[in-house]
Amino acid sequence: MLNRDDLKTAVATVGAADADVGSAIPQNMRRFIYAIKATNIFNGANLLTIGKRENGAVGTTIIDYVQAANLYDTWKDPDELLEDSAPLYIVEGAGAGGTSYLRAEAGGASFYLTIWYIDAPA
Amino acid sequence: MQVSLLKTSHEDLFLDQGHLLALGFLEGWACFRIKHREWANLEPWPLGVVTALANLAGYNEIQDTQSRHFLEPHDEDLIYHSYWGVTPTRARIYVQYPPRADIGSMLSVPRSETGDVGYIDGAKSPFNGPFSNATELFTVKEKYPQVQAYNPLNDDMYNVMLNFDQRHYTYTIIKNIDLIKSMLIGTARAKRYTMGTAWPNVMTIPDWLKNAVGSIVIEGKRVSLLAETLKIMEEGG
Repeated sequence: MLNRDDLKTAVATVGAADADVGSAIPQNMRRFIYAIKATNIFNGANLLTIGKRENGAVGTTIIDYVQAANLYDTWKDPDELLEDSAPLYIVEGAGAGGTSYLRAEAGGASFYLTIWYIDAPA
Repeated sequence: MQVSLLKTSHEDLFLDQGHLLALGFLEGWACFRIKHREWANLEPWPLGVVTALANLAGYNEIQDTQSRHFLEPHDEDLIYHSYWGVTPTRARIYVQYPPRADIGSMLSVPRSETGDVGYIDGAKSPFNGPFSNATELFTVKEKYPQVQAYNPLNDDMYNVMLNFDQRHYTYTIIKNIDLIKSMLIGTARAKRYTMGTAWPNVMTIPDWLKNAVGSIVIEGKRVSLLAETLKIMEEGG
C-alpha cells in the first residue's frame, strides 16, 4: 500500500554504461517503484533500458524499456499517482549473496531518470 | 485486500487485564486470570528463498542464533499470545504445534507440506494484517510452534517473510472450582483455547505447569485439578 509518508525520490543521469539507480535496497525489504519520469537529453532518438540486480547478481535483468524519438521527449508513468496505485516494478532487497539495486542504461546517450519508491517488506 | 478488510482485526482479539483464559491440554484445562499485558512484535521474520514448487529445507523454529524461540515465553510466569501474516501472498505456511504435530489435517493421514490442505497463505492472513484467526497461538514455557513454507508458483519466491504481533500476559492460576466450571461450561466470559491439535491428541501439559495447577480438596478428598476439569467438560462437573 502506497503510504505517502514513506515515498522517496531518486534521480540519476543515466549514461551509456549500465549503472545503479538510487541506494542499495535493504535486506528483508522490497523496493516498490510507484512512478518513473524519463527525459531524453540526447539530441536524437534514444533508448532507456531499466533493469535490476538482486542478491549480488553480476548481470542485470532487464525489466523495461523506454523509447524516445527526440530531444526532451519525456515519459512519465503513471499519469497520476493515487493512494491505491500498484507499483510499476518491484526489486527485491539484499540477500545472502550481496546487494540489490535498480539499474539503468541509455542506448544512445543520456537520459534524466527520476523514480518515486517505497522500501517495505510488503 | 478488500476481502481482508471485512475481517475482525486480530488486535481486538487480544486479552485484557482481568480476562479469563482456559488452555486445554491432554491432561485437562489450565485456567488463568490475566494480570498484566505487554505488547511485542517480530517483523519481518525472513524464511528466505523458496524456489518454485518447493519447500524450505526444513521446518523453521523461529529462533535466534542462540536457539531462543521468539514464540516461546522465556519465563514460566508468562503466556504469549501471537497472530501472524505472510508475504508474498501465495506463499503457503504449514504449522506444527508442538513440533511434529501437524495443524490443519483433514484426513487421518498426516497432511503434506506441498498440498492444498492445512496451510495459511497471505490471502488468508496478509503480512500487514488483519491476521487470520487461524494463526492464533497461545504458548507457555517449553511449548512452541514451527513452520514450513511451500511455493506453489512456477517462479521462485525471493524471500518469504512473516510478521508476528504478540501480547505477553502475566497471570494467576485459578483454583476455585466454581469459577473454573463457569469458565468451561457456564456463563463466565472466558477465552478457551485448545493447545495444538484436537485430534488425535491435544498437547501434553509441561510438568512445571502441571505442578503449578496442582490439586484441590473436594468433599474431603484431594483430587487433581486438571482431572477435575476433564470431568467438568465431559459430564458438566
